[in-house]
Amino acid sequence: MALNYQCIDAVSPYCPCYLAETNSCIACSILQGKETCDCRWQGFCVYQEFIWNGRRKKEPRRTLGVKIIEKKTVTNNLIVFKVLLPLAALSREYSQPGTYVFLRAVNSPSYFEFPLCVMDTNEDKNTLTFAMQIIGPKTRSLAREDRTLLLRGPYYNGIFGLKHIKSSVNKKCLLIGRGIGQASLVLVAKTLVRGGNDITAFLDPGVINCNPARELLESLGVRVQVFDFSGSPYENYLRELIENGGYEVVYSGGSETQHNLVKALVEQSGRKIALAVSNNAQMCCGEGVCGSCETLVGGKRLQLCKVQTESKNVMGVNAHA
Amino acid sequence: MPKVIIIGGGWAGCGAALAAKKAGADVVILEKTDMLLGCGLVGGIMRNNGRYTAAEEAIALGAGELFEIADATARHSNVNFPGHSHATLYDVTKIEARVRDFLLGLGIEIRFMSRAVDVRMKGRTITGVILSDDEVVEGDVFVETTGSSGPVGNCLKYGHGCCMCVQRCPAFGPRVSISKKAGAEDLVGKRSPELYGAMSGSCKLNKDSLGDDIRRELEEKGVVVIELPDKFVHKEKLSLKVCQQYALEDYARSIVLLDTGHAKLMTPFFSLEELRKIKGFENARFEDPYAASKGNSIRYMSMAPRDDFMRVEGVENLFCAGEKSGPIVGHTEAICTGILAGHNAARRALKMELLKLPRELSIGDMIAFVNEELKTSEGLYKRYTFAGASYYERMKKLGLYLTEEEAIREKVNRLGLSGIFNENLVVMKENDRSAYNNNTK
Repeated sequence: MALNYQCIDAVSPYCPCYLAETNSCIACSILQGKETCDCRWQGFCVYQEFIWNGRRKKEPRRTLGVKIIEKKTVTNNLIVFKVLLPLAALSREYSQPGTYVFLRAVNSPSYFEFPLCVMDTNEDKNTLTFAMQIIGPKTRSLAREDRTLLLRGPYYNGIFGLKHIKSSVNKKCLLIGRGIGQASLVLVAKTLVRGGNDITAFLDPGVINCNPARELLESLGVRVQVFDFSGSPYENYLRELIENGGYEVVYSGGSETQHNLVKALVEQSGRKIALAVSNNAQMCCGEGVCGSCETLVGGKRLQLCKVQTESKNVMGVNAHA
Repeated sequence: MPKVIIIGGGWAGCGAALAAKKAGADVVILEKTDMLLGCGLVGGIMRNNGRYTAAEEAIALGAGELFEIADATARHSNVNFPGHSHATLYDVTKIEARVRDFLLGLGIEIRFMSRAVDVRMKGRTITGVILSDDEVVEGDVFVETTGSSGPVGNCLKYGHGCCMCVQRCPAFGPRVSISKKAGAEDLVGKRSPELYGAMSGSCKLNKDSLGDDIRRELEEKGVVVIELPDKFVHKEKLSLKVCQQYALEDYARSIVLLDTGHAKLMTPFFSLEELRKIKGFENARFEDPYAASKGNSIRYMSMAPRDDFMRVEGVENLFCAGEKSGPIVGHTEAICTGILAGHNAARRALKMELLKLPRELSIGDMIAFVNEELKTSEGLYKRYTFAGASYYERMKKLGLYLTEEEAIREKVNRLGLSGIFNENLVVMKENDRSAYNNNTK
């Protein structure tokens, strides 16, 4: 039995991509250089799209100049800012849970680009909101910008187990976010709200010393509780909640350590709970090309920026937690 | 009770399900689309040439019900058309529901829109097949009858692209080679050293779209042959065809139509623009494939290496039949191989000795002969059918071609095989065991 995974970009306007042109397609066996069909079918034939497109990739994501329209330094290492997309780009294309973009300052070379999760979108105003933790040279350089940024996106594979979020209807859901990982909770919550789900979120400020997702979540009608996740009292409380709280979907936005704890608690509960987690792989290009997110999973090298799968398949294999 | 899982509900899968059920197994058919019969939904030709013999052999062997349903659903019997004698043309618009009701009536479980994509193995034994929604269907023995045509990528790489045939891959997803997932590498048929597969040999016109005269003649006689103007003769199409029994000069020079409920046009594809210039075809439109102006499905892309018991080589509990089991063409061929595969699946589940059909029977000879041919360098370039080309010649040469029911029944009886597929092996084994227990008490 082979590992079950799909390509997040198949069936998107960006498929076929560079990988199809280089015999490296994630979905199609013929576009891997094989003789016959044996694909990871996602509802359409990637090879057919490739041929009809003149044996070329579709137009890849472009880098756009975007205006910063709001910027707030919340703590000494956390900035929340809002950008206005130019008319050529639509914020609704950035509103799927797990959407992220690559950002850099206008005058920085391309290797200053880094991936950042879209915290929220406003389709009426065509804006995107980000929370950014200042960590190293790339984020520090970006933090100095006040007017314009370069943005490349949208990219969609920020969450493993995405189908559980998208397909959840009238369920009881628990979202757990710590530090900057909580930024990914908002789009998850928006999708769950659309499905009529009952949502509780646990937030821990972690090293950013604030909860930038709190207000946004509360405005969606999510019950928010703030906790300090470190230490055993929290673990016991969470165990009790997962065992007896009646939750059917759990999402963890945070570090690998947090994911592993949540996964262990879900497994120990013996209950049927669907788990989704934030994708913490180191990403550089988002196109499956550069190799920085490539990870050995079950004997196969997978580009985690594009490979969508159940969280259990990739947890514990990623060296860059 | 042993559980036999059939993957693919085409004619071969229906044959396998029937035989496994008769042998006493619990049977589940997994079918990726919403209907049984696969290509049989648009085929319809039975009993032409040597297929008559094979059908009668199957009946004498005790598993002829599917042939009887086809006979009972015939629009025309005893039809002759170029190169072919005594054909039965069943009504493709009626037969599926009849087969479905018949199999359900036997207590066979049919799961539609259930596409098998992978297997769960223990060593070289399959413990379950995995469906596209991750469900695992467990069983004791498995029969793969997923065919060898398509999917979209193969039809595009080796044909003229997806022409929207009755298999409807874009809607129901591609067939997956289960034998390959279980570790047995596929054999791929060839047209030339670089070109894989072969193109399905007929397309179907909507009968109501044809002129009154043609339609009337077709419904009356079952067959209409119309000579083509020279400019519309495309002989190169003959070499493309799967169905070498219809790759005759006559089929390039003329339009041969058969009444199967649709008007079956015996050529892989036909430019609608050209076709409409011919009298009586001014309003013609295609019924299958929908884009038959352009091409047809590509087949023989995925055959499993197997032995003469229909067991897939290298896998302990997987059998195969139909196109999956070699470059064999046709419903009759699918049903006959299916019956043996289903019966042997039940034997395997009961740990009984497997059955090989003797070469005195056309079914037994074809199963063995195709296997021998596949081991030669030309094997992958040929197609085999009771209905024509080299295998029909062989039948005639070896005296296997018989058209008298009584003679066929007698032969099967002489071989000690009368009604062998009717034996409930589960009950038989129970009786053996209790007899043994009684004897040892």
